Amino acid sequence: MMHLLKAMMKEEWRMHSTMFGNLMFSLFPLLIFIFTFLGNFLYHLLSNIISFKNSLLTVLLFFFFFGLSVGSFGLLGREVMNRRFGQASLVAYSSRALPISEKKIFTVFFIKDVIYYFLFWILPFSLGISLYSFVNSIHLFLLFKIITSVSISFLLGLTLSFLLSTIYVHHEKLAMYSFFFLVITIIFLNNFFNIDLLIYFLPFTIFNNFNFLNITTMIIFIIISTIISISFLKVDYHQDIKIQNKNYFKEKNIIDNVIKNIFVKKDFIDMKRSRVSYGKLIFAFIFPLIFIWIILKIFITFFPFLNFIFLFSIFFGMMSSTIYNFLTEFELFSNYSFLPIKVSTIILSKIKSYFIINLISPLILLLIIIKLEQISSFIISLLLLISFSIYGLTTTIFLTGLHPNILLYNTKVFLLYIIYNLPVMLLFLFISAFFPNYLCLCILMIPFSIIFIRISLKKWDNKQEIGF
Amino acid sequence: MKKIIETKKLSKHYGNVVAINNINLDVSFGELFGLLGPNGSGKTTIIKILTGQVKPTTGTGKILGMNILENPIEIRKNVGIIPEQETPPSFLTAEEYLYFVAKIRKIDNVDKKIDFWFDFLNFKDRKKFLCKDLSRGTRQKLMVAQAFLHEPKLAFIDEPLINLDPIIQRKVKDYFIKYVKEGNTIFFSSHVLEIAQEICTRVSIIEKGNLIYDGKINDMKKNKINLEKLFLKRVQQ
Ligand SMILES: Nc1ncnc2c1ncn2[C@@H]1O[C@H](COP(=O)(O)OP(=O)(O)O)[C@@H](O)[C@H]1O
Ligand SMILES: [Mg+2]
Repeated sequence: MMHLLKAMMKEEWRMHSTMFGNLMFSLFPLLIFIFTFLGNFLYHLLSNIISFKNSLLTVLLFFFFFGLSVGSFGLLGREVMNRRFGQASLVAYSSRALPISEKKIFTVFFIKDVIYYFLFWILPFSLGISLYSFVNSIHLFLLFKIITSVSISFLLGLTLSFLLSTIYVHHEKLAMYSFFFLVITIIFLNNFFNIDLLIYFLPFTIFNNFNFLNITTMIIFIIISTIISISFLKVDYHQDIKIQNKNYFKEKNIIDNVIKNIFVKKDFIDMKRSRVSYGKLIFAFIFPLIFIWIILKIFITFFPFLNFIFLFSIFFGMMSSTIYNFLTEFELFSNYSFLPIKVSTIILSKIKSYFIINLISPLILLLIIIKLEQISSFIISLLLLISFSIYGLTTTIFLTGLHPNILLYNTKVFLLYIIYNLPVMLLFLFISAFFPNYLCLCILMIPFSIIFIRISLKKWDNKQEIGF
Repeated sequence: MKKIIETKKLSKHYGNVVAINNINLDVSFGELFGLLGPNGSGKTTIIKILTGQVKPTTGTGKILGMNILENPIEIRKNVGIIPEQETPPSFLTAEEYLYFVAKIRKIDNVDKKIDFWFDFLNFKDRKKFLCKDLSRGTRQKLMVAQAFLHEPKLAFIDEPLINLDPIIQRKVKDYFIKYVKEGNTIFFSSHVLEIAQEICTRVSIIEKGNLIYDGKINDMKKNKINLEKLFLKRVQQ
């Protein structure tokens, strides 16, 4: 057992350090430590504008969503690995070759995740706050309360995503429905009864009612849901080989009238047939949207002069550009490299698929705007959404070509991505606050993006495709 | 004889690794040329460079009169390639994949051709399976079919027989021989010497990126040179 745990810890380290580079990765906890430490000063400076409640909520939510995403990578990430490397080669997935039961392996896998992320995120965070408490004394008990609720928040996210993935693997539709049911209930309660549900966010409740009973209940809940996940675990869920009677490239079908490009057509066939990815697309869209919503809602209380809907449109646009990353997950260019096809042909077809899928974004925006009763802002918001979506797409293509999911983990590429995008976002936040009449200037980003995409296509055609 | 493949001082470096070194290699129309060498000797690299998938570090070459640096797409339009590793996309069926390739290559009336390959390589029953559910051997069959669908004048074949059973191997070998007799050319890479001895008209041996032998199979037969012995002797030096 200890042996396995050690092997997995090593593996996790190697996986991350090859993605990020060894030094960068080792510096990571240090960075969190420093950020937390300095963040405290910032909080202290701004404590007149920022309420303690909101700051704490942000931190708790952050660790909660972090736990969620870490957990879902653990199980769903395997799909991606499979597609990319043919067969995932993690220790956890080699259970068939090892004389240990799958359940045991995944118990260890879970423990590993907990230890690992505790060491890399929560520990430095705790140390950061603790160090600060020497500078500006925080009551020891308060410190303890903060660290405990942050840990619980992370664990809760982690177990929930394990639970959700387990349900998902067993019963995809059930998981989807329960997820949507949850989201709709939250929205409903929030809107019609004006209940600020965030107050009921469990780790936050725990913080406010900090007693032994509550904490124990929470921990027991976490342990039970973990045990449920593990006992219903299906690692190699057996998939029947399905005969596909349709031949989308032979018979004429309805799709042909709408989609002429065979590569775009293939994207949609891929999505239809790899059902896991449909789910992932929705998860990949809805989760961040909710996250952005909540964070911006809190953020705007710090900067009340910003317009929420404009702010949201900008972030929504940037987020929707990640659909491109999702689309490129399906294939490697090397699957085409022996055919007479240019890299740019594939990139262009991905852009087309991207726009088709992204048709949903304006609809979501419209719904939100109707809800907020800000119809008059619709046109400008839409322009912001579209411009930032296209701009984000452009910078992604320029920097990563067909491999955003790999290259964005490269520290240098990632920093460049931030450098290309962040100032533009800040600029428009500034404009939205002080010169809202000039916001429509954002459409200038579109012709700029078109030129830039042209340049990127040339760049990637000339670049020798690296084999991944 | 007229050359279909010509290279001048091709080299490829990956960092400090010299994958191929100063390769001068000519193949004439109508040859079934075998490039033989141990694992990692540079066979795949040469095929990728000749078909414009990888750029050489130095040197140049011509395929069907087209420059490999300037016309990679034109070259790939006109040749067929069976790659060593690449596999068909996971979520298309075997049949769809061939139609997909036909669309990419803009071939019309492919129904008959596609049916021929399913019959010939005996995998009709897998037509409607997703490629991800196919065995390695079946995927390999699909890659063979894919390469010859447009009946190219020249085919590059990178170790194609490894996963096929003896019956299919026989069929494929016979197909190659017939194909070359009809006036086409095949560039074939392998480390399986018997196959090369059996079907090739000419072989070259490559070791650690250097060409170390070049000879016609007929001449070798006349001079009673055994390919295996020759290979072991030269490569072990
Ligand atoms: N993309 C690559 N990056 C780095 N080294 C490579 C790459 N491709 C091939 N090599 C190296 O080039 C040499 C020749 O490889 P290859 O052409 O695949 O040989 P063969 O096909 O004869 O087995 C090997 O040493 C291999 O490790
Ligand atoms: Mg090879």
